[in-house]
Amino acid sequence: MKRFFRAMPLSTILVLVFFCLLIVLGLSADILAPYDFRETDILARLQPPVFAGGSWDHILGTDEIGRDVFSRILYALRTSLLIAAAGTLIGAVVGTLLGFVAAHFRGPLEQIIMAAVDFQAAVPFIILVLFFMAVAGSGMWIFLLLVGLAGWEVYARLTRGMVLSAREQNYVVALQGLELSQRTIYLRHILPNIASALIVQLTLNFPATVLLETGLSFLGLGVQPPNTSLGLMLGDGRDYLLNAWWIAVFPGLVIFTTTLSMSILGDWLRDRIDPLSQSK
Amino acid sequence: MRARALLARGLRMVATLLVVAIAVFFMVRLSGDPVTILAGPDADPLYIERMRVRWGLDRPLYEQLLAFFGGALRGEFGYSMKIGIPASELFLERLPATLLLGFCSLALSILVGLPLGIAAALKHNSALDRFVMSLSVMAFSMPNFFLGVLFILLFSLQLRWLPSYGSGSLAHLVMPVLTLGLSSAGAIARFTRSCMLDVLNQPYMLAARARGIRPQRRTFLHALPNASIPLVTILGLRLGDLIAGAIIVETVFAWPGVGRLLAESVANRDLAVVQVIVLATAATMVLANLAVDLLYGWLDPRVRKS
Repeated sequence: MKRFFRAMPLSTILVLVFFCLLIVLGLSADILAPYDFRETDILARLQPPVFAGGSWDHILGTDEIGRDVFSRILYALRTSLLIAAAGTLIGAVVGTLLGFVAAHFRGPLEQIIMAAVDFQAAVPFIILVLFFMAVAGSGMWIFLLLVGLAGWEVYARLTRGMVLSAREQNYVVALQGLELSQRTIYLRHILPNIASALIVQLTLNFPATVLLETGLSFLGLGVQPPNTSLGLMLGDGRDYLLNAWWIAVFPGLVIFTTTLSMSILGDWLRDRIDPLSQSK
Repeated sequence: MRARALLARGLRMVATLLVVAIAVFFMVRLSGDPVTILAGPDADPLYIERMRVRWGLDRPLYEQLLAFFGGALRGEFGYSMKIGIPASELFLERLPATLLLGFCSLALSILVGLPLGIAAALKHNSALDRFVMSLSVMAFSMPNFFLGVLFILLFSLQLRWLPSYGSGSLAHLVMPVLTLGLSSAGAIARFTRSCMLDVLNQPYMLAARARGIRPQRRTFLHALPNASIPLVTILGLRLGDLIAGAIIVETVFAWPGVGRLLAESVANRDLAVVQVIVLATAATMVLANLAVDLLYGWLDPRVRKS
């Protein structure tokens, strides 16, 4: 582990520290936020941030009904990170599982799964999401499920390919000779061998999931008030750009830096685990 | 491509569209009775009954499916429940704006992304290469709704050069095109670079160099045509992404296109309109795929012969 991280350039270490900081900030929103994120104070509405003539009471200013922007960002960060994390995990688990199923059973089941993979890869995902929302409405659980299904096809294709090639390899042939159960072979032997590629995919998929959630929330189709997400804050703040740019700009900056740091970490991890892709 | 292969492709296209259309039909019908949703809980039962008859919702499902296909062939997809005019008319009215936005931003992203990608590949591992790659990661990570908001702050509110929303003049087009074009320019630059790197390491490039062919000629006549084969795929995908890619940007700039219509219709649950747009997107994707295949045949003699 120590050796693994020693190869990390200083700039990437800084990015990692920054990303951990974001997670800590989001998770401890309850402790760190100076105000409740729903608390309004009509007398203190539209106050600028402290470095633009505001006061230390509201470091990042207040919005149109006097809610503290800094506190809201902390809570919104937590919502967005949790949804993106849960969504990424759902996609990874569903996709990996279906990849194993396709590789194990082959035949018509594999054909159906791979046809679904091709379909999902061909249709812009946001269109599917919007169609389902128009049909089924937009509840929190539907939303989470839809965000989770983004990108499952990549894991399914990846897993199927890797499992099929692993089964040809000597160690798996040997294990089968030992008459271990199929489950043990898959879970204890093949999965650990293909895990690194899946984890790389997970890190690369995470920024896209954040962008999907914040984008839908920005359109008013994702997280619903009184809950808040970074995309929702930015969408609301758009109406006050002329008088209060800070309502929209700070959440936007947080989204951008979150996805940027995760992309940089994902690229580094991919180059580290799969040196062949380094030249690309 | 041979005529038979072309025919097989055509049939598969039609089959794909048919499957999508049937799936859309059943999903929409499963979602519940649109009349009850529209009329609200306090509506007169007699009124609801009359509306159901008028929209054919009282007939058996297979009859509705046939009517749906019959209508689709004539270009009729039902009425927008919100505004009451035909959904297809609403769609066609908004289409030119989206096409204009889509093609301008595609052109911009190629004009910016392609040269940057080629330059980065030629100067592999140089400062320029790292700079282009950093830009491309940033473009990928930047949500285009935030980029749009930043443009509005800068160009509309600070400098007062451009109108912040609406359409009608060339000035209205600038910011939406910049936002959409720059965000996909990053992806195109990155992809161009990796395609070019693959080709530049091929033995025939070394052979060309050994024959004394000048660098510029090698780049543009030997490397680029070969690198352009995978590039065409990604450009085809962008073309199919025309509507989906524009949803957020059109909303940010109140651009009267199909993307914004889709976002509004989903919020209003105006299913007839959503249905038309989903089917149109599917058709665009299928056509873009076909265009890519045909271009492959034109670009790559090996595909043509097989």
